[in-house]
Amino acid sequence: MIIDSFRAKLRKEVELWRDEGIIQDSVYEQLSERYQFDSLDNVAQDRFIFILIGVGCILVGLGAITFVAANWQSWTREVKLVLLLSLFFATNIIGFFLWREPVFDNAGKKRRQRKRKFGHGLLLLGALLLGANMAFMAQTFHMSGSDYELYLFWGIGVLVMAYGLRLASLGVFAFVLINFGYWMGLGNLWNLGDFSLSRMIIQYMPILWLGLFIPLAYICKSRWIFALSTITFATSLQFHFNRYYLPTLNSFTFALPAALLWSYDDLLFPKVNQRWFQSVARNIALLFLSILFYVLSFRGYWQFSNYSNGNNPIPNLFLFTDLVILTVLAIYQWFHLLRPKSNRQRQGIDITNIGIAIFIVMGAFAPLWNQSFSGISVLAIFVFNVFLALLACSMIRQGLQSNQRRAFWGGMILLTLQIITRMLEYDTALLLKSLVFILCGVVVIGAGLWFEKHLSVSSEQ
Amino acid sequence: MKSFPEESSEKQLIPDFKAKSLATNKPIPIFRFIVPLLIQAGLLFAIPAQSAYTYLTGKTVILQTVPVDPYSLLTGYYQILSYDISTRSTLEKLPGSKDIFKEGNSFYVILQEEKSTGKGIPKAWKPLRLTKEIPDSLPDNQVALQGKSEFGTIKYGLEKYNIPEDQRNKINDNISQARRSATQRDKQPIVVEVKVDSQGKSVPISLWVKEKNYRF
Repeated sequence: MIIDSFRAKLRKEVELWRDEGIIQDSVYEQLSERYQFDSLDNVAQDRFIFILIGVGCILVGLGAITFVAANWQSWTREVKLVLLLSLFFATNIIGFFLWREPVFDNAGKKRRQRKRKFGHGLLLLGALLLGANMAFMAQTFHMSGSDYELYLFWGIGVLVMAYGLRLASLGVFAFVLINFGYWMGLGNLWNLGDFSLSRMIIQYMPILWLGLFIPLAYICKSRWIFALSTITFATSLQFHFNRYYLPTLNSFTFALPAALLWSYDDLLFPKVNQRWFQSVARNIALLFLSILFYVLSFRGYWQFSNYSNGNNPIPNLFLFTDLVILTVLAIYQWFHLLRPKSNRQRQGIDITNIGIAIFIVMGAFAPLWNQSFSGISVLAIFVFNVFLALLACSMIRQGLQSNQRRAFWGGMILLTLQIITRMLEYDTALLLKSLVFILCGVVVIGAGLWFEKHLSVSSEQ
Repeated sequence: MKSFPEESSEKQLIPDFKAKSLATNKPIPIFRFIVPLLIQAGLLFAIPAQSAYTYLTGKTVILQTVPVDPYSLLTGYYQILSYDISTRSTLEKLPGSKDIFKEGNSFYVILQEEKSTGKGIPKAWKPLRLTKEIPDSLPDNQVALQGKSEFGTIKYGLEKYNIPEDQRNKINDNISQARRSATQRDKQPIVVEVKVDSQGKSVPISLWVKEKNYRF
């Protein structure tokens, strides 16, 4: 409607300009054709019909739902099953045929995309109905499965459809469902149970996060899917192996996400010839490192160095296949990153890479350090705080050098957060706290203003 | 955002996300939709597959239930069922139980048929012994039922029975009435009819409360 009122206003203005002689008739014709002033009169009629149809559809839908609710108890199991299944198939098929209409008509103009959007919505509804059908099947046949299995297989079903239709929205929906299934079922891994497909899926989930969703990200060219799946990969890796209580495992889980993501290069894949997601991967790597070092700078982390040695499940070597695969992948990517290239201009970049490598190694070293010393190691806390400050300062410097807001502000936030957290963590006088807050606020405002000026000056050059 | 300076020769490697790829005028082929739809339908039909197989090929067995909770019998849309063979103490009295509970979780209970009168509530089958593996051959009046020990409780896959909403209260009243009248005797008159197939997998068929049979 906003667009329509703009067009109506524009038509009025353009006619005024033509009458006053500001523009010529030919220009008026061009504008009229471009913004389709002729169809403006039909718009009001169209809109009225559209609203009427919409209200009618809502009423019919409500009537259908009420009809189903009235008769639900008296229908037999078979009738309900047939009804739900036919609804599922009908929604999907109609949605697909509406959605696949071509975007451009024969003249090359862009068609109205109403049918396409409606079909898209129907396809999403179909994905929801898949879950409803699965729940109904489980309920009617008195299955004693767990909730997480339902979510897991529902998510896999939606993911398959997302791959077939190359729709990013279905991919995100599948991602959310599989997340539900994974986090609910993670507790299940802690008890030794029998083999089942869902158990195996959850066991290999860290690699599956990457394996299932990164191809979809390439197919749909969607940065969201890539970012979401890598973030969940990094998070799940931390919690996946906690039941074994081995500190050496933690060094792997601290180091692997950042190592894999920083050295990520799309060109390593055989068929990809553009760097679609490397910048996203690097951002997430930096984010992960910031959070990791932030956590490591807390006194509390170094205090809890006692791991329970009660009933630890004894790790089976097969359970570490995903760690082994990831480590090999990381080493291969870093080798590709660091090998000497022909251009001389990459000297500066190599220093950045080596710096990040040092951070990763320090992150991996932290759990080992934690385990070998009993009691709080003041040196460790000091060292990791220094490293956190180094990370923040290098991000600020990077932002200044390449005139990017995000790096600069990322570094500033990290530094400020570090100062405030340290101050709140240790017992300091209230006066000191107020002083630090004021100082931080002033520095943030001042730095922001200075940076914006710096940006505008450098863009003028 | 590029977080490191780009070489001029590499600038073309960065794609332009803003330029939306123009959809071609050809609609996408149908098989890209049909194949995922068939996979989804396969997932849907795989859920009751095991139960359907057991229902078609299994032998009917009667199991005795024990009270779960005298105050809240129905939770949500399903009745939680617990059997006399779900309690560890009952199972420990049977021969073969010592080896089973030492290692592993999955085991088999051999049940023997009790002849019932043919009308009214059928008699529950009696548990004879426990085995680790399923026996190769059993006489006609015995079956092997697979159970799993999880978190200290024993589950057979028969713990949930779905009861439609409008009949919930009626069945609830019947059950509490039956339980009250059974305090003098040692066994309560609520049994569950299940089907057990040749691998020991089972599926619940109907619920007997005194003389009434509820089948859903």
